[in-house]
Amino acid sequence: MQGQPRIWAYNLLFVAAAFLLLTIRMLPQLPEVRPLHQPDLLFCLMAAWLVRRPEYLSPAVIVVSVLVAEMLFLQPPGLWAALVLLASEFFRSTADRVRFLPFGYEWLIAATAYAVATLAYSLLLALTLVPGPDARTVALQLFATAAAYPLVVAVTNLVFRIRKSSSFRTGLLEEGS
Amino acid sequence: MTNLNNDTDSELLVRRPLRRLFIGLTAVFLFGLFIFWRIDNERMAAVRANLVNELLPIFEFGIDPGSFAIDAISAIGDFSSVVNRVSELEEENRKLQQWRERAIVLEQQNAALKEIANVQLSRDRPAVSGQVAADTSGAFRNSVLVNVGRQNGISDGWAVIDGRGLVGRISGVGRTSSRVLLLSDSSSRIPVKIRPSGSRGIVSGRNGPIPAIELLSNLNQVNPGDSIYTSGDGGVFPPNLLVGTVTVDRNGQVGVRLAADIGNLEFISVIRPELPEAVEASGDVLVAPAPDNSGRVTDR
Repeated sequence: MQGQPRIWAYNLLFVAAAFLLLTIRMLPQLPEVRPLHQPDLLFCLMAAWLVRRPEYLSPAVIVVSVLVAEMLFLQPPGLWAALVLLASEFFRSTADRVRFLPFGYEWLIAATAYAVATLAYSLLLALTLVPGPDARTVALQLFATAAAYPLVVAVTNLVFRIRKSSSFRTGLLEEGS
Repeated sequence: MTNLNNDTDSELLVRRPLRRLFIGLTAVFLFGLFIFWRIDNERMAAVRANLVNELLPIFEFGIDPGSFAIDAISAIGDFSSVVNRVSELEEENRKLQQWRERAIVLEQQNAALKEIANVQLSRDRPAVSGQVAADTSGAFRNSVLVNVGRQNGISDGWAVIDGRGLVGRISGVGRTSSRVLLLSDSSSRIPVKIRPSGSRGIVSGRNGPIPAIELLSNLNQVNPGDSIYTSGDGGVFPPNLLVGTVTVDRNGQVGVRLAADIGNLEFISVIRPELPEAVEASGDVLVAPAPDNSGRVTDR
């Protein structure tokens, strides 16, 4: 058993990482990195953590991080946060199976989940007649995010020291139902 | 072993349904937030501006040292090219000296002509200066946050310039911060006029560094390099603020090379619009005042 303090520490670490990512995006001197082509690193980080240690990341932390980003970046508030929350629940529930697959599958699953969430986002924006990003922008961001995923996983492994847990304990609990 | 079983039972009976309820309610709340924003954008914008106002100081903890580091690094880079720059600047200075002479002559001429024509110039506009606190351009919005807000008397819709030209307009005001929607944002539309042809047009952002310009009149008299100024039509923006120059890209599409360096903003000024003087008359058709006694009308 890892204990409650450890879980708190990892949640705080995620908050710090999200803070860092947002801060870098908001630096006034970094204009040339077009945000259009920027990968959604927060999503990658969330997926990488949840697949490895689902118990280390609470849904509240995820929602607050995304909601703050939405508020700062003038996006429609709530929509992306809701979709990310649903995606996070998907990662959480499949983590025990995905964890023991080769990395290629994990990569594919993460990229597909992001694609589905993005598609739903664009669709809901179109349905509610909110002018959203064009298809090219969406495709570029999708590609960038998929490409960034292995790097984020490497950082998760090496810097944050979140390795795949070898125990089936959480898995047993999940499959109890 | 029994301990584990108890743990599992409580997990199955209480914690998991509770957790599911929490997730469901949060998702409903978030979708509700989006719907609320869609229906009552105005109120949500106010909420957002106040929230961002509270959040910004937290992020400035990270942004300020980051900015400092980047400035320091680029300063080192600049230093190495300083030697080359000096000779370039000397050359430029020599040219500018010639222009200065010319400007003085023109200024004198101008003053004399104004004297003759008795021109009434509009007063200088009061402006509030501020600094860019954060660049919040995202996938489909282009905006920056500045460190002046309601406290400084700023309100929505005011024009924002940097040292060189128009940057955008205020969209969302918090107590000590406000958001500037840049000219490059896809929802930005600015009425302009082009000199010297006098054509009118609308500059509309398209999320790139070069906004489009839609010409409304005198289409074929506009040439690349012509200057674009705000026209002041619609009363949102003061007239005669420099926006940029006309450019034509490879596909023959007309665009605006912005005078302001919107990719790298640091200091900005927010311009207080001058309220137009109230027009007293109601705009009815002018009629002669009614005669005092009807007797005179029939008087021939």
